[in-house]
Amino acid sequence: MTWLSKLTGLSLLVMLVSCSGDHNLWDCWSGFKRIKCDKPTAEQIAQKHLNNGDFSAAIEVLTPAIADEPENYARYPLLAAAYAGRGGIDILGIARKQIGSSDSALTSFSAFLPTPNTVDAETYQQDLADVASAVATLRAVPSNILTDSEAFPYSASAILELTIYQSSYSIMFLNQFIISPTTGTITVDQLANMTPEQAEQVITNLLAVGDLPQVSGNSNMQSAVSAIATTINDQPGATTKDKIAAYVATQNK
Amino acid sequence: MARSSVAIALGMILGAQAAHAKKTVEPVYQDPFDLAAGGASLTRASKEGTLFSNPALLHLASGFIRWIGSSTTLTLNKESVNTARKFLPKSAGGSGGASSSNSSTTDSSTTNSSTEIVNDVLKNPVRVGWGEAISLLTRRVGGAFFSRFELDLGAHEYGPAGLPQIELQTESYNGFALGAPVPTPLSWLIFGVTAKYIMASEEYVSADLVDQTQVTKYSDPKMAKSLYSQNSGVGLDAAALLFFQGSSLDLTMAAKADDIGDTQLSGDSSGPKQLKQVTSAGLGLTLHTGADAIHLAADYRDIGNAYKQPLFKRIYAGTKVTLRQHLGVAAGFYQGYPSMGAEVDLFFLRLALTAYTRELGDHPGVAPRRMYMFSLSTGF
Repeated sequence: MTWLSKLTGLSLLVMLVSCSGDHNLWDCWSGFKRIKCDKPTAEQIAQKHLNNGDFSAAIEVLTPAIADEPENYARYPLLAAAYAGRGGIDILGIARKQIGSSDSALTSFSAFLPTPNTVDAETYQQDLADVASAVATLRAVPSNILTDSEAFPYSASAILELTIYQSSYSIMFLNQFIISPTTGTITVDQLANMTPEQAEQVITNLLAVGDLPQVSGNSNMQSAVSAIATTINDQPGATTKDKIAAYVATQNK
Repeated sequence: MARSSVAIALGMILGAQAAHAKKTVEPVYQDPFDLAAGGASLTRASKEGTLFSNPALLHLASGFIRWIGSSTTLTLNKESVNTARKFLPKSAGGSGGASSSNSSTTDSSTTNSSTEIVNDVLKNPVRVGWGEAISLLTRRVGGAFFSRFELDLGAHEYGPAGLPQIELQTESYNGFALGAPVPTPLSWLIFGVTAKYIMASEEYVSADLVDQTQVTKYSDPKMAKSLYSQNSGVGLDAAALLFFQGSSLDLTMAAKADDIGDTQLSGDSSGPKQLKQVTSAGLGLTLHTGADAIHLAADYRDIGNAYKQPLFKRIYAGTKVTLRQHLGVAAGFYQGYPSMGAEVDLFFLRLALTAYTRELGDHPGVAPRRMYMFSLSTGF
């Protein structure tokens, strides 16, 4: 083969290969196998999974990455988001709604969370466990790091995220006792299943939202969710469960 | 909903924060046909791209005047085209049932459509740009006024911090370049220099969509200054070209130093403040007859990796096929992604269409933008 025909062939080959797809030559999964590929970071891979709605895949990427480097705190908000996403939290819906103190946090939040009437009981408990994992993941970041914007560039976002997940968990925990699985309406009938300890847990969860550090953007949400606890405590009743029943009755009007 | 999203976008356009350097190893201005050939332009560049890629190439012009004219480019990404196509009004025979619907149905469909638009914008980034160059290139000297601007609006349901995030990036480069080849007694060795006056700005802003206060702060008109401001400065590039011509095969090798001694930019814009000196090398082979040619070229940019860029962003390679000097097709690998394009020369009018992918992230697949570029040039 002459130089000229080789050059012509090579030129045609470049044209054919470049027209054959849109994958990067250095891509680790679909690129050219004979060159050393360029792999995105665990955070970047996880973020891609998150935006594709594949939350379990994001958890699978981030869990070992965090185990390997527990002090890489940039991964914690993403893992929390993956748990929350798998737990059914519609984060985009919450972002759009811009839940504030003027809203009824209970109904506003519930629109973006799984409720006992939208999923079966077992799935609801799994969702609740996932949202609890989201809260636990962010609480695993040491508080001095979480609040230090110099040490942790995502500090404000992470606290805002924690506020959303803690609020979501508190309301999901309450909803399992007050929303009818068949009709989806708020009803006191469901409260028969609630133990006194669970009633106390409802208040503790709600108050935990108010105890979070204040950052830009979370104060309205904190006020709205904490107001539920205050309103419950202001209701007549001998026990916390009675007060919750009275509160639920007001929500039902 | 659409209105609030537009307000957020406008709010962000008014605000600006620290910039991420985007112009790194590439020339400040590139010809669309060069981009189609993978952006490998050190050994073969088109029109005003010559001044920015390798001024020594001016000496290889067949006539005294290589190019005089203007070029206008319009750039937009594939997702923008798809979104626009999706929401363009349907033809009268299509879904034109609105006149028979009652008002509540119309309201409902409008709301659904608005939500769909917002969902689409949140999932698909929008990147648009335009460029303009007016140039006179001769065998001895060349000059060009150039201007290009690109705007990138992206949103993620899950941003890097796990919350819905919107981000806006702008890239603006304008100025004037004056270049000249410097022939040597050796016919195969040519040097070249380009002096350039650059006005540049690169802005990057991002906000968590959940945090209304974060978005609102960007609507402060005082923050607009950075976006409208540009940094300016004077820089110098130098190049060397080794050109070995055969009867049907040419070999070209190039070495280039961009922004010698680091080009310092000053002004009110948050960035860039400096264009670092980078050294690059290129290799080209041209198989030609009298009127037709096949060019193969590869560039290795920023050999010393001054910008700390990954390898896939420093290697550019591609091929150009020109037929009868009036039709050209090109293909290559630009930042590792396939690129392709075609150019038609209608004597006083040149039309070019290029498709390429630009990676905004630091690894392949992180933030790719599949771009279409249309160019119209008038001149000869």
